[in-house]
Amino acid sequence: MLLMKDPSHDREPLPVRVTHVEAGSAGSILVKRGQLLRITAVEDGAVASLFGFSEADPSVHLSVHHTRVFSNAYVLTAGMRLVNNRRRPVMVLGKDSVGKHDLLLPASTTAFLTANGYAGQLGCVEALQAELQRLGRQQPKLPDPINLFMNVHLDQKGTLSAQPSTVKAGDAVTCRVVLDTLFVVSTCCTGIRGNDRPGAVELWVAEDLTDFPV
Amino acid sequence: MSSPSTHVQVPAGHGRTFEVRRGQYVTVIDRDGQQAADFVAIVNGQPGEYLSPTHTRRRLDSLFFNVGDSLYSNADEPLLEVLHDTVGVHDANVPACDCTRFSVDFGVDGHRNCLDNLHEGLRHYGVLPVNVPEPFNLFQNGPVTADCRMQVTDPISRAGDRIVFRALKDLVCAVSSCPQDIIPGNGLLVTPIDIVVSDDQPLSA
Repeated sequence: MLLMKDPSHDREPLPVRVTHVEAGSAGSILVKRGQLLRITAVEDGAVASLFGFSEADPSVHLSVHHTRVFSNAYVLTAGMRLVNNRRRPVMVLGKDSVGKHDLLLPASTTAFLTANGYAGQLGCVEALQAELQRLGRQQPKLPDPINLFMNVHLDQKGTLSAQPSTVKAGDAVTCRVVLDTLFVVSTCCTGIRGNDRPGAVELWVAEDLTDFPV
Repeated sequence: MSSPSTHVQVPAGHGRTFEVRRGQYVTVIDRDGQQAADFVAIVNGQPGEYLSPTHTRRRLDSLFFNVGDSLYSNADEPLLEVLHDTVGVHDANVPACDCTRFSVDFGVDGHRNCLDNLHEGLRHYGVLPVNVPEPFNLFQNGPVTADCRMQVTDPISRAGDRIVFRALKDLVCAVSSCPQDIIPGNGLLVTPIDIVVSDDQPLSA
């Protein structure tokens, strides 16, 4: 919950919830304004490709591109606001045990994976589409993802070089969410070297930090 | 005898949308210098496939492109080949300025903006505002600092600088002369962009 001056204007606290996302699939969680979103790696090397959709307006989504320019940053660091395509904060990266995330690369598709030596694996885009369909949700735009836990180095010449994942089971990010948002996370193969072994993740939502299991 | 070419003049701070056939050449010219030209494209008749800086980055392992590279679609297909470039400094990172760029970031409502400029023509092809693709910002200068931050600075392009592409599919392209006149980006003077679409390879390329 947010510490508001007048608590009578606030909603009732909601129970803690968790969504388990198996490796190579997508799962979702609805987060209300004021709640904390925690994304935890269950297996070493997991990548969580994150998408967010406004609960108020189907043409508003979490935007990796606006997030970069909002902070004049090519990389995601603690304290940064993740914003939507209307340049409004969706959440803030408040805790981060990894410190390596990608804001520059696209979601994989099944066709891309097939063409690049990962035949038989489901793409992030198709997993996202399947999850939205399961929820009966029409989104006019499938945005580019925020690739949490993806380790890609950027140098001053603009060269991107994929590095081996350093993510261990239990690594997590925690964000205070300030706009009601449906988050979808894909754990599918990214097709990015060193970050291409899908691992399960958990999506937790809670009102306060102390509500999360340790 | 050379084939006729089409000239598209983009007034300062405005946008223009035009079709290009596979095999044609597109020359984008910074007429007066230091002017960013936001450039987007969709495959003609197939608006779900569009030019994507994000997918191009994955293909090139770089934020930036060079002569000889191609620019790719969201289906990993090459759409444009870079044939000639008198500047060599372009941005493929910053989203198009929109009404919120001016209202949220600078407290100015009603300012001209690239998203509206690009959508103005693309809407006739069934493109919703939310589906205007991410742009390549030609002539825009977005260097990476030592700590991986973006430097906000003016272009190095001079009057007459140009970039030449060959289209690899039938495309609908839209170009906006970026109306940003508040922060560095267009030298605080918004100027026109000239475009030539030709069947023959331009002499300069």
